[in-house]
Amino acid sequence: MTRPPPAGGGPGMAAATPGFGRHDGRMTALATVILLSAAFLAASVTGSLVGSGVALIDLAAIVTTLLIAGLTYLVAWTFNRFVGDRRRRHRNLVVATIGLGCVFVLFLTTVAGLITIGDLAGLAAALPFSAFAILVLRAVQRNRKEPWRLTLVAVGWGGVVATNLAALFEGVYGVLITAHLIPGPGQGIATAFAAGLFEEGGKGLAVVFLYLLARDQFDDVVSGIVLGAAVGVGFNLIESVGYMSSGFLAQLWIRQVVGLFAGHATYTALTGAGIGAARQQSVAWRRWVCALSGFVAAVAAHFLYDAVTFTQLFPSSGNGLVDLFVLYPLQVACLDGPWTAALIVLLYVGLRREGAALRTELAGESATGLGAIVPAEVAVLVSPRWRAHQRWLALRRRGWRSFRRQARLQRAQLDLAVERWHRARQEIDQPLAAEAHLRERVLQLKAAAQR
Amino acid sequence: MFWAIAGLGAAGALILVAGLAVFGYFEPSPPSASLHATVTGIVAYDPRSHRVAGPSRTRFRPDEDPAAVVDWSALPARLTVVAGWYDENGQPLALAGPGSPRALPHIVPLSDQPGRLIPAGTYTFVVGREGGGRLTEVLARVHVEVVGT
Repeated sequence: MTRPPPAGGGPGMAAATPGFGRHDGRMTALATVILLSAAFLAASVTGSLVGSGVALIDLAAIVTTLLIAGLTYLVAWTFNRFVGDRRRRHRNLVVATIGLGCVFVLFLTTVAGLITIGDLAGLAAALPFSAFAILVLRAVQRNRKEPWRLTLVAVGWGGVVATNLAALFEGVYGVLITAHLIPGPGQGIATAFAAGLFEEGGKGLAVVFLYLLARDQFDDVVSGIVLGAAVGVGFNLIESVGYMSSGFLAQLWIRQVVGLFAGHATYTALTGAGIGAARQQSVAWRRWVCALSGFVAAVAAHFLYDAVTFTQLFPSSGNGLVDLFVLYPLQVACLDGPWTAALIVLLYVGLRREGAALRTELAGESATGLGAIVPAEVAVLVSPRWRAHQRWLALRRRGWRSFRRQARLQRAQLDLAVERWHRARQEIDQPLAAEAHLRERVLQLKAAAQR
Repeated sequence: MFWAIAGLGAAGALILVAGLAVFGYFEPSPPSASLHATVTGIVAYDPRSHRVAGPSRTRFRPDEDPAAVVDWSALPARLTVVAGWYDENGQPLALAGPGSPRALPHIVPLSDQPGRLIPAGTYTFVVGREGGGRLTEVLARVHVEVVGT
């Protein structure tokens, strides 16, 4: 049966997978940013009053950024008074805002640099391991990969923003709460609770923002696990370098070998799994249950590991080498292993479902006879290996431009199939018109490929 | 998928509740304000001569050994107390006691080993009431920073 193409297709159309920043979630994202900024300011002021070093640095940076922002906009406003062209005035403000964004990123990077104690040798040693982890995560996502820019945003947030948030809030918590507790297991548990809550909160926000703003790339539990783990890898990289100043090779082994996929990557992948599963729920309460469950699991997994470590519950042999190469990996296997194993199962099931759904939707689209996907292409598009083979053939026969064109076409065809999948699962509130737009794009790419 | 994620969340919630219960056991109630020990100062300690020297301060180098000087006179002799140094996670590093305040030393060093370097970080000296093999109340507390060179 031939499905008629949906009406519409212009900008602002209702779609299961609207582009970056076009979803209704952008208002929620904006509200979250405002709340986060208020909490950041409050924690910086409170921490500065009680003598927290990180809070003092953050407060100084906030005051400096606000001063620069005020001056920048004052200059832009004064300059614009003598500019008649509205578009030039708008461009000046955009340039000023981009400049301020750069100042803010510079400040966050400086704090991350302070966390790593400027240990460039440590960074150089740890970076290849983290890069390897990111490549593995992308390879795992065999059906439809996230764009590199999203993966790098996730890694960057984990390394630069989440580390800053965690250092600030844990520092203030330590001065206000932990320092007044009875030393011993209770204090260790309180510290572990803070680490779980603030570190997973800071990292989890990245996944939440990607879900709210880049929903066109956030499909299901697979997207959530991969992006969440990428945030964790970024956080782990900066934290590793910080710790490597007190034991270079031991910390490299602990954090970048044994703990590369366990630890932070696993914890934030749990948050991502929850949000990814929420993405595929059509009922609101089920979405909330999934998102909260993932976050609670992440906090609990992190808490459990830290609580056991801080209270020294896991046995120690007294021999440093045995502890490092036998007991420490055993501790990670016992405490983080079950969570990592659960994620691997979720990932496996998610990939299978994703693959089956793509096969169904690609076949369905080819059956419409509209030409975006023809029956002969279905077998190629469902197989990552065949897709790669097709791109390789394009490269060999017609060169790099043809390779890129082929890659774009495959991507657009998969986008169309995923859009159909989301609609079939009723993951939207309104009927959508994006399919026609995506189909049109595929046809344009095909036409360009034949020229 | 929904039930799998919800199950992980439920397992996580159980772990956090268990953690809160353990925390409640070790941090039973706000301490009474009636008893206080007096730490007269934190000073540099020489493990070879077992003597202290210099003024009281809260920042030390890794090659310096901080020691707490305690005035036990304000505490009743029948009390069982512990005095000790703890790391940032609340793990004990050096303890004196448990015992009667009259029986405990006035100087409690963080380390008694000559030439040992103390890792940079925050250390806490605590005088506490002991009961059932654990601290039940903090009677005095001082934080010290060891700053790496």
